[in-house]
Amino acid sequence: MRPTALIFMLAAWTFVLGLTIWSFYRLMKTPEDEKLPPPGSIP
Amino acid sequence: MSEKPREQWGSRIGLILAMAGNAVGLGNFLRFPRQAVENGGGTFMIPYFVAFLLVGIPLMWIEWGVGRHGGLRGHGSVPGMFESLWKNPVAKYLGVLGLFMPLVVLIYYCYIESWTLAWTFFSLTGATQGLDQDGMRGFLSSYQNLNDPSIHSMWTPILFFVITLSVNIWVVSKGLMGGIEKLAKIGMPILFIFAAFLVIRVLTLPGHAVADATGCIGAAAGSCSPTDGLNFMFTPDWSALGNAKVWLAAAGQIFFTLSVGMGSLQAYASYLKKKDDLTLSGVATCATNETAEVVLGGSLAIPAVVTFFGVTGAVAISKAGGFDLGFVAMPLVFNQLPGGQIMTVAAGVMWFGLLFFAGITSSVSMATPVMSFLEENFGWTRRQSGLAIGALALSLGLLHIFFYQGGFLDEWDYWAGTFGLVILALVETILFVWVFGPDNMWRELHEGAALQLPRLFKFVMTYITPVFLLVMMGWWTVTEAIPTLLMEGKPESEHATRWASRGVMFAILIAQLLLIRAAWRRRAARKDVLT
Repeated sequence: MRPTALIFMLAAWTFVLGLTIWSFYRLMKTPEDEKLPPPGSIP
Repeated sequence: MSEKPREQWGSRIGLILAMAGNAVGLGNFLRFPRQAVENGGGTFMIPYFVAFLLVGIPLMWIEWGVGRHGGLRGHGSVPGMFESLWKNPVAKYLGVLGLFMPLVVLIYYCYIESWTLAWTFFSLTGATQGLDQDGMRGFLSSYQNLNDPSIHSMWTPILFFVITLSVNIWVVSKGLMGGIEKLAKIGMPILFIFAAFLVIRVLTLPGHAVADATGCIGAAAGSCSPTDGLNFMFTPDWSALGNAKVWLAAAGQIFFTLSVGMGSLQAYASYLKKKDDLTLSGVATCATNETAEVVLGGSLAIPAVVTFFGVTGAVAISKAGGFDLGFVAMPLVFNQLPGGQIMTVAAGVMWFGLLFFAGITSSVSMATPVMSFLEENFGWTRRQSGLAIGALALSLGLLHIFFYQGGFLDEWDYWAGTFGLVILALVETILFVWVFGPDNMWRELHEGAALQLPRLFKFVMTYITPVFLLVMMGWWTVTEAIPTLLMEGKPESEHATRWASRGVMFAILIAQLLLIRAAWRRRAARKDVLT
């Protein structure tokens, strides 16, 4: 595979797969009833 | 407004899968690869991801925010949601776009979806085996044209359309948890498993001799391989970055792939509870869709077609349209796969099966806004509203089947499924961000949020996203909408059908405006009785 094509493909895959894994990991880590306090409530 | 308690999602994963199912559609597997190869290959990914960050994710949050804000005030469709954001009599009428678009798109989308069901059946029965390229094209053409009974009887497309529509109506009639959420929990894993299997099969194919191997690494030996397809998809063409058309094509692809501007994401979000997260869930929805599109969609059709037809052949097929790529070229690829008849049948069933699941998880979401509107404003049951929409979709869907060749479907696809989406997205962005207020918008998005958004996105959503949408709309008006309105380049023989198609759409729009007026009169009358 051409190096430039490989770089673009890997960059695109890394971005979307990374975002997917990170977001689902964060979701699993956050219990459904434990949320951030409303904005402005933390001094 | 109905006094019945509103339904709620059963679980967060069910909600995200349903939202992602709404977004993942036929376009992920058929439209994206074509857009990439026609707009600079690897360089297309740069404007694509810029548009994803500046338009896609912000619009996803806006639609979730508009939906939950309206849902908490008893509105499951856009007219009521807009009125809850802007206390002006005009607001509810602007919201007609959120009823019109999903209904119109649902009707023709179900027809296209029925092709995928039909081709799953044809793959299973081996009907497309042994056909060459002309034979495969004739097979598709006979299906689309009722005047050509050479291969298919006129009842075949009607039968598959009725089955597809019935399944859709059955699912939505089962309700949010029992129908839509259950479908997403079953359909989305199947879709990803089928796609992953096909990607592995395609990317591990050996090189194949082709008539014209120009552009392939093995050109000297006259053969092409899946790697050539990936090279073709991802090799950057730097000159494309300076081309405004490429940037708008990328923004358009992001827009379609995430199903924003339709009214269906808002309808789903209206079932969220006050303290449900929407920031992180919105990101997870977008990311799931992008994985399906970039990783799976980008590794399937183009590498497979390049392997068996070469780059030149793939370009010719791609230019003939997305349907040729999916319904002509892919079955031809499956006919030549190593592994004999079993592999041909399995690959065909998986390819069209995944397209069917991608389609149905999207189409059920399109039925939801109008059903919610009828239930909440006229006291209809879910079953009654489902049957009403099914009857309407059946009668108008038949027009698409009968007049497909005359451009009937093209008109709906352009005005409702393309141009209309940008209008609704622009209107809702202005209402949610500017009229409701940037601070209120930001507070609404962070109610119950599991992810604190960087403040940069407040600036992006306030200024960049609306400007991006305005530019897109202006560009499309000049370059596409006006020529399409004037039917430039369309044969004279199609003009009557196309005008009739527009007339039917206009009638739907007027009927929905009258329904909104009637609904608000009923509300006012009920309020008078109570006071």
